[in-house]
Amino acid sequence: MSATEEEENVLVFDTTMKKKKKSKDSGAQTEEEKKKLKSKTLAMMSQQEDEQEQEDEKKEKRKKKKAALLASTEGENSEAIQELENEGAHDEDIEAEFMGEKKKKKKSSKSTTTTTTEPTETEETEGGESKEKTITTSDGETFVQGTIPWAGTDRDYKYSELTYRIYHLLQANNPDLISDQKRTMKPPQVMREGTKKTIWANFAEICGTLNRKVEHVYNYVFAELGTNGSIDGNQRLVIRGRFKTSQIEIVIRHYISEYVACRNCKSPNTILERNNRLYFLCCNACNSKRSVAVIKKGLDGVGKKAPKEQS
Amino acid sequence: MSSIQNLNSADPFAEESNLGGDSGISYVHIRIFQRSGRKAVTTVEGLPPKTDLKKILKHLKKSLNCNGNIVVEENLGMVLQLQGDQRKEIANFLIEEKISQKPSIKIHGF
Repeated sequence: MSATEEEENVLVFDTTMKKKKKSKDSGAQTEEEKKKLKSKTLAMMSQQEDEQEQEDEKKEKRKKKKAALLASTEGENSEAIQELENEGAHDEDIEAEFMGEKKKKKKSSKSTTTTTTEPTETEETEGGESKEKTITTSDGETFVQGTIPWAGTDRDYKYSELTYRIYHLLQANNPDLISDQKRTMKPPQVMREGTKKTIWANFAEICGTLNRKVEHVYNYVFAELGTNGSIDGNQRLVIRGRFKTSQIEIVIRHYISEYVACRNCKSPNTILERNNRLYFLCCNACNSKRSVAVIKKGLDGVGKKAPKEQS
Repeated sequence: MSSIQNLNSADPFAEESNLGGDSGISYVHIRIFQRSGRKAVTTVEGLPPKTDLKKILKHLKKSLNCNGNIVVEENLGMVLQLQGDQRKEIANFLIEEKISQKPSIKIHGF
């Protein structure tokens, strides 16, 4: 994967975190259902991982075959390779179908709320299916999807080519593993209480979907907004100051990118662990572990002055 | 198997540190504090110690048409304070004047 692609991914990730306002129907889902789905998805994840390994092994074999072919016949091997490709593509197709079925299942489970699909993602997957698209990498080389740039030549494979190839094969066959899934969240319900306070009504619910402690989230929110507040009897967050839904949304998005989404696989299926006074973000999908920044309040002086005036 | 592991390590390219998480890099934090109503105060923390904050402040005050101040905090050191929501402007200024790079600037708030 090239640097630009990687950057793109990061951006992509941000946008997938976008929430749409239509996601009201999700509220009907009960906790139990959620738990079930969670376990289901987890099981599927592990299954997929196994399959992925198998597939990768296959691919490796295929590559080796190709390499052997290349070594043996220099000139007219393109046809043979094509054949091999086709063969490969065929069993990939089968697998893709299989995966597709699963994916549907998964999607249905994930579609508890609405989402935004990333436009680039759809483009890419389309490209993967049509296998025709040319894409320019950061090196300025253009690759035609589905073809092998080193076919018929004796040169070494370039790293960028190989990574590109595996990236797209993976994307075409196993979109779950690499592509940005639809991720969903409810929009925060924010309303004004009086003139100086803002109430975030579904705060506890959002913390629940993020699988984070309420305290951690509100510490972050208050630090980020530079105010303070409290939680009232109905588990609503009362924030001092006037804030719009859009502003709160931005804060949640920042929170997600910092404390929820796994930095490696972007899965939101993570746990925040505390070890030796440090917070670690543990991913349930890819098992990566990473320390995250402590929530820091900025300069207190400004924040201090205001509450005195108002309280 | 090794190839798979390689893949795994190639994928997490996304370990870009600009998402934060490691405290090794000293970030410049630009924060906003809401005051009464629409008014706000912007603070800039963690500017590199070699910079002449007075000069920066003077320039910012003039170019942004606002007042400002330097506050000395025990933990944070010298902190710039400016009236109004000037986060973007300050970030642009810092980048343009090469006082700090873009990834090391963190803009907080909504």
